[in-house]
Amino acid sequence: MSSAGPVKARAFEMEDTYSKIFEYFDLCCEKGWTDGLPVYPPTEPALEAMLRYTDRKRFDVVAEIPPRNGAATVEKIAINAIMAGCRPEYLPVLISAIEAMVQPEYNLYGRQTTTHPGAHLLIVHGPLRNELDVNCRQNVFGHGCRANATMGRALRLIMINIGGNQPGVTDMATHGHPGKYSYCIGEDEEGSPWNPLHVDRGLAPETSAVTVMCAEAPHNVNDMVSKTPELFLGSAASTMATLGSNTLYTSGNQSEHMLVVTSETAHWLSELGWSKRDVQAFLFANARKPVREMRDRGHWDVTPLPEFVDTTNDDSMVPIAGRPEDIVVLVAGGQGRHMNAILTAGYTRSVTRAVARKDGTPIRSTREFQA
Amino acid sequence: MALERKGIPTATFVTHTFASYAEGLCRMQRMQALPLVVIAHPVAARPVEELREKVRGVSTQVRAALTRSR
Repeated sequence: MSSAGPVKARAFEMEDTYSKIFEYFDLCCEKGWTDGLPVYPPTEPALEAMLRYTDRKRFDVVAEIPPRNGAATVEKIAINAIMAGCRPEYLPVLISAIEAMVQPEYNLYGRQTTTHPGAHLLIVHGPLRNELDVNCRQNVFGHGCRANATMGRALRLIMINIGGNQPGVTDMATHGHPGKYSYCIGEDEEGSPWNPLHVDRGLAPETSAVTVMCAEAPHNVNDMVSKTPELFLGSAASTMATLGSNTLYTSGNQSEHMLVVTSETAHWLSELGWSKRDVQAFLFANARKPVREMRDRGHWDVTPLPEFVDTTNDDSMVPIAGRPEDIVVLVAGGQGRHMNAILTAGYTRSVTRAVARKDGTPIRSTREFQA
Repeated sequence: MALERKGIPTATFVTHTFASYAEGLCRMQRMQALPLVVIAHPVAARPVEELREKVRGVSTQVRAALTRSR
């Protein structure tokens, strides 16, 4: 709460008839309150229903969202969630996602205003994935699932309506990408032989969590033939280390990548004795380009490369990240051997955070708030 | 902005294509007084002599920004 009192959303009245829906949408477009798609009216009853899924007070400030430094109160997060089409019980996930996005290593100010095509990828972990029906399998980056579609969209609307994100005015993305409408997946924990990402990052398996990553669009890697992990992951390494990517040039600073593999692939690798760390180590060692190819292009000489790279030696190999653990390996997707490489701009790191009560206690279920 | 907030004078270069964007961000951050030095777009991959010419054209503004009384 500011010294001037609580930050409250401004209310307005409209006639409650079906024909007014289009007037309402026109108004939202005119005011810049939408991503361009229709939005639900955040009526007071809808807001009250959503606010029942948090132990925070309506005007509690969760975070300030740059570049406007708008106060993301619980009320305003809920309003944008309703506009995006979220069910009320999605609110705790969104609050945790916003808390994650404002951590310094995420660099939200830079990510909101850059020319780079980064979208806020929301990854949901733990039991809440199943409770909220978050898709983590077939067509995981695609359409068809309300939780994925609307929670990802809610984050974008929050960036617009609270953070002041406006294409061509504050958001200078040269091209952007479709994930800026919505970008949300679940991790296929039941289909994975390895620990899920939130456990790798120190949380308990039974804790539900979110990871936010400011990410480029997924780039498919299709290798139907390779019979060994080295050949197969070599295809991924080649896709990840491309001359046009930022991360080759920012690997000495903050550079992060993600490879999304299916359950089938993860089990095949695991049966051959590969741990997730082995996959990360392989990609770190092999997703590289020689100095010869990188010199005098891309971001050469703009950002420091890792100390072990000899920039005077044409044969010195430049990695896509500074450390193996900065190449995130995630299990998600449907049947088959397709993989997806997710690149970032660098200058940002993903953040994982438990979905929790106000005091930090992780929640087991959104139904806790109904008790 | 971070340097200015620490009291260190700055001159922020911005090409004219990004000028209104930079001014808008300054307003949002309550940093309207941040000295912006606007040069003609583009600057990426342009010949060095062309860039020198562009910078020479704003040298007075840069000097003024860095030596202004605060």
